Amino acid sequence: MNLLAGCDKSIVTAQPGTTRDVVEETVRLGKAVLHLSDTAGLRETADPVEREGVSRARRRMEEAALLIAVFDRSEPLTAEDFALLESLQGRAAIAVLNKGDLPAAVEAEELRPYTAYTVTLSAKQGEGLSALIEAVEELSKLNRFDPSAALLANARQYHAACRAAEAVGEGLSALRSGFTLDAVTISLTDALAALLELSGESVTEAVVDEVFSRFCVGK
Amino acid sequence: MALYPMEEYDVAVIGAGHAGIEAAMAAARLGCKTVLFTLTLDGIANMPCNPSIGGTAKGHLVREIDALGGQMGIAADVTFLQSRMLNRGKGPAVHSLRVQSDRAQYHLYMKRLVENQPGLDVKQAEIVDILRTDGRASAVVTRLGGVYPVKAAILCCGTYLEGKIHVGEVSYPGGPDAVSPAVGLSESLRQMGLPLRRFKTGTPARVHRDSIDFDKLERQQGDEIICPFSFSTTKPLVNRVDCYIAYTNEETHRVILENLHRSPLYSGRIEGVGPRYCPSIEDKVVRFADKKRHQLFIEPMGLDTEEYYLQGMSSSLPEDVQIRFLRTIKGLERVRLMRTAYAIEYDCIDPLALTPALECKAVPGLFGAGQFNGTSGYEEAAAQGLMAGINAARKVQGKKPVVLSRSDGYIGALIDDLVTKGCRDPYRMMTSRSEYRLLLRQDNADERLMPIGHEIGLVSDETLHRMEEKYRLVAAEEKRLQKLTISPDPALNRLLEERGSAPLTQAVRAAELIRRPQIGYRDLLPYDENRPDLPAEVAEQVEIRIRYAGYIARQLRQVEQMKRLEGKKIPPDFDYHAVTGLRLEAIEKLSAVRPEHIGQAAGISGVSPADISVLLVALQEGGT
Repeated sequence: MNLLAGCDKSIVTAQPGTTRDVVEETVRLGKAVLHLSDTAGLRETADPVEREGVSRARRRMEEAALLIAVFDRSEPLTAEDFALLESLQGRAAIAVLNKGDLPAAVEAEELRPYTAYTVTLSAKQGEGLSALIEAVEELSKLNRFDPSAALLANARQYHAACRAAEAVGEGLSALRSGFTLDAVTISLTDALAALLELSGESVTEAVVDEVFSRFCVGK
Repeated sequence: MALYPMEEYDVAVIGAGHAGIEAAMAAARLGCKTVLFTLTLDGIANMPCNPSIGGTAKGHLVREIDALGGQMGIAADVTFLQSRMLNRGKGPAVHSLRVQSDRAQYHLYMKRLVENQPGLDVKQAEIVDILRTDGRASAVVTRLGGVYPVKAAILCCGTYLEGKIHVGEVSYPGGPDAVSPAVGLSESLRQMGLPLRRFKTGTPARVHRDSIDFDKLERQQGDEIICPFSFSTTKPLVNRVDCYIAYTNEETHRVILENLHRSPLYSGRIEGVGPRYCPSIEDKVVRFADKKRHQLFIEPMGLDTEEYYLQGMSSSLPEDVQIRFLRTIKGLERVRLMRTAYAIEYDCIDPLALTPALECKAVPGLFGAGQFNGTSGYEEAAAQGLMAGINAARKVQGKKPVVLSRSDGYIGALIDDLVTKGCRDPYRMMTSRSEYRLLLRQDNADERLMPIGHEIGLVSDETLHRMEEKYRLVAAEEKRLQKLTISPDPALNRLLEERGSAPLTQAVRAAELIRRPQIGYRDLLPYDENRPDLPAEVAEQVEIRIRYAGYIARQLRQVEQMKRLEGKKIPPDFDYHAVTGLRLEAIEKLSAVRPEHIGQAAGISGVSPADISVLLVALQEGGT
């Protein structure tokens, strides 16, 4: 967290279980802007305060769009580490092997079966950050982003584009199964309506609602 | 001129063409004491152009008129000579009925109808002035000086208003078929502040049957099974005549092009705007220069006449040129003209000056319908006449106007287009003008509109109940087919394969099979032992409903979208100038049209979606 935030945001000690609250910060990492949550390490503990910290961490993990799991490279992986690795499967996740400045007890290869993105760095020395940036950009596909291409800027636009694509597909299948054009055009009308809504060339209830949801009209 | 008082009426209808008849019949049947004025009693329900009713989209209008309790469909069924359902290959949304009519019989039928309608007086008189009291229409004045006090008046003046006929280099004041034009009324309307403009239309020549070589032409026969226009026509109908098809050729086009300088259109003597979708033959030859030939239909005018109509050949070229170019056509080499083709210019109103009830915004109590409102076509005229007649009567009786929505029918789309978008050339109905074609089919006009017609008071209980019974049968049969299973069968699978549809490997619901475009309700009869004996129109509805269920549902959702915008009402006195952020063009258009709701506002050309958003915000501010 502190490496990415560029300041002493979280308290760091050698003592496991130091982080308990979720510490949040918005950081810019290469092309990506991340709303970062630093959570407690996931481990069994008798301390009720830490236990609450761990359960908050698990909840946050469920909600997160991107998981960055940090492992201590200088110590062999524990059963808890493997449990965490299991939970990364099928998620957008990066496994970070920290303490890259110390002799290695864990090899990156051991983490490969769980996640495609493994990065070795040293938070203390500030080394290996570029590899993490690369992994984040790759995962978020930001490195493939073409700023001159058409852009769907919000969920409404995205849904309109999906609706248009779906309607065109239905129109095509109606045509192929032998329906007359009067039926096919209904799908095309829907597709067109979705696209016009996207381009702002037609007024629909959705746009109207959007107008009111985003602007305070006042009295 | 000395004026003298005449009898008082609730409603006066000016003009007894297709709009005027519907208007007068509706007003009288709704209990208004009504008078129908015509320049000549011999011109009632005249067809000055094509002796035909219906056609693409126009056929929809006629069926809707019938479902609402209008007259055109019944008259068309009684007097038709040949009937065809057009676009049969193109799906139910665009099937359109068209008949060739006996022009003289149609006139006589409608003349008898209006003469015998209780509460309706029919008078031969020219109306030259409309009088107002407190800004409202209060009397109509005849050329002879008779003043008829009225509570409402409906202008259905067709192409007679300051009519001017053009044939080549010759032009003179006149209406169609040698009837005098209406002179003076325009001035009266202008003085009331009504925005009049000049439109133009044209008609082809009529030729003698003996001068046509029919064996050189393609013959076009009517349908074997005839679908009537009116939902109340029950007796079987038969075709009485054939029509014929001929083609122009390069020689025809050469004669036309060489004489263009003698056309009033190209020499600039005609100022009126002509119909884009019904161009004259010289227009077609010029605009579609790459086309080597144009089709024309040769159609009888009636059983008691030798006159034939040349559909597609309207022209304002000089008479001698008309004869020359017609004689280049195969089958017409020795053709003899009986009536010359001509163009006609006339005054009409900018329909943006009308409310959706077809009432002049500037003159309460004064309504307009038909060509006066800027449309073209008998069916468009009749549809507006009916609505204007209904709304004039309701106004007199203190009732709220009936305004059909775009999703109720083509009539709704027609009137909304006129009063919201206006028109720059004579407006013709087309299926493409309706967003909801699959819902607004000609075959279900009864289901859509009869309840409204009944509510208004023009459709009898008996007619309504017959319709309800029809759709009860449709619903029951649909339900039965949803349950009925059909097992794989060698004969059925052979049929499926022949039609290019996958054979059955396991039992399926009958409805699922009907959903396949290749298989019809009738095809399944051999596999459906308990099928009830249903009328053809019920079977037709069952098949359409099942096959198009998904598309109909989709279109209904589109209607819902529009209804929500229609639900956002705009106060009639809303001040668009006070809205910050509206563009000047939008302010002007909105102030002129005064839309009743956001849906209508969004349809105005020159009003952008951004303007609508601004307007919505302003309405929200004012309304809450």
